[in-house]
Amino acid sequence: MHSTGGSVLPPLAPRDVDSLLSAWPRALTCPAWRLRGESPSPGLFGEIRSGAAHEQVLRGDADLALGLLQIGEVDTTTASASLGFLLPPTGDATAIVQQFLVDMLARLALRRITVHLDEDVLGVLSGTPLALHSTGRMRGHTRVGVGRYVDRHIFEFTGEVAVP
Amino acid sequence: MTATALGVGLEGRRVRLERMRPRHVAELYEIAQSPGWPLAGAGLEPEAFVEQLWSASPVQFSVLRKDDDAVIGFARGSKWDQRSRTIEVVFGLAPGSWHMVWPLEGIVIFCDYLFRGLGMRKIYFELRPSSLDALGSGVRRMCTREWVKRGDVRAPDGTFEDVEVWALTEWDADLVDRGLGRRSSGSIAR
Repeated sequence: MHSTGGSVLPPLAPRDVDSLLSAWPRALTCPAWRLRGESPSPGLFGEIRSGAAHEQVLRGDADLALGLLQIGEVDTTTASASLGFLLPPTGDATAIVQQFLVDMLARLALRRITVHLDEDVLGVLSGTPLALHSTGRMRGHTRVGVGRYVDRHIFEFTGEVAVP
Repeated sequence: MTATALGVGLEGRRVRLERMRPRHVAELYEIAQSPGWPLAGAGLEPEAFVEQLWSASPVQFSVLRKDDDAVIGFARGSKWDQRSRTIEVVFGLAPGSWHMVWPLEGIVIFCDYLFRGLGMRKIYFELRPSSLDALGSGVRRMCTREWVKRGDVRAPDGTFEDVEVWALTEWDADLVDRGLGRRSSGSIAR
């Protein structure tokens, strides 16, 4: 898996959009990309995508889009932003995600990037050497099935690397 | 007769809620210009204020005193997630009502409406420490702090202030009953 883009909403070819739409229901997502029972549609895809300021496309061997990494909610007053992601359920994307965080923090001159992870996608950044400071845990916040709710964890990345 | 919405009473001992209406706007605009409010000094024109007011939330009420019908604030729901049944409460009170306990009854009535009327499971409040202090012990007693957004807003002196996220769940409905001075109506948790 490799990535392209890293700029303000790079154009996506129709086959990339098709690929991402079909992958979406099984994808590991940040809260913004959670489908919440909705059917994935080009309209919804475009609507969520337009909320980002920066985006990087994850591509597979055939150069087909497999996922998206985004920076959104950029606040220039506090120099902060949040991470958005739509990642394939298989294949470890941790290295790409952490490089994206490091790049965006520097390129956009941010003080911090906030990462929201529902319990069922916590593995997205497991094992990363980046220091992610836990700032919150919203208990039983997100409904993931009949009578099933999971916690939402909130982390901040400020550019530090954890000391092993 | 006590006004209700979705079967929930909207009157307390000293305040009542009314769905926000155009006739409340002039008083809310005046309140919003008061020192200490986020809009103070922002130079927001009345028309822009009205537009912001109506587009801010699909569920919002004005808080009125029962004795003279004066509008003393508002309460609204924001970030409404119907699947997870969560919502954030945003409220504002006229400065004359700060540091007083009774106007907060309007916020408790609104929480009752969100739990029992709209079927919300969890309610969030985002508050700066200074706002928490102004509200007395009520929030700290009834809610649980779940998230601290460090340095999230710029204070007037240029420093950055934290914003704390506090949660109230349907399991705490007894506390809402108590806040409204009534006997427990039983857990509404499903």
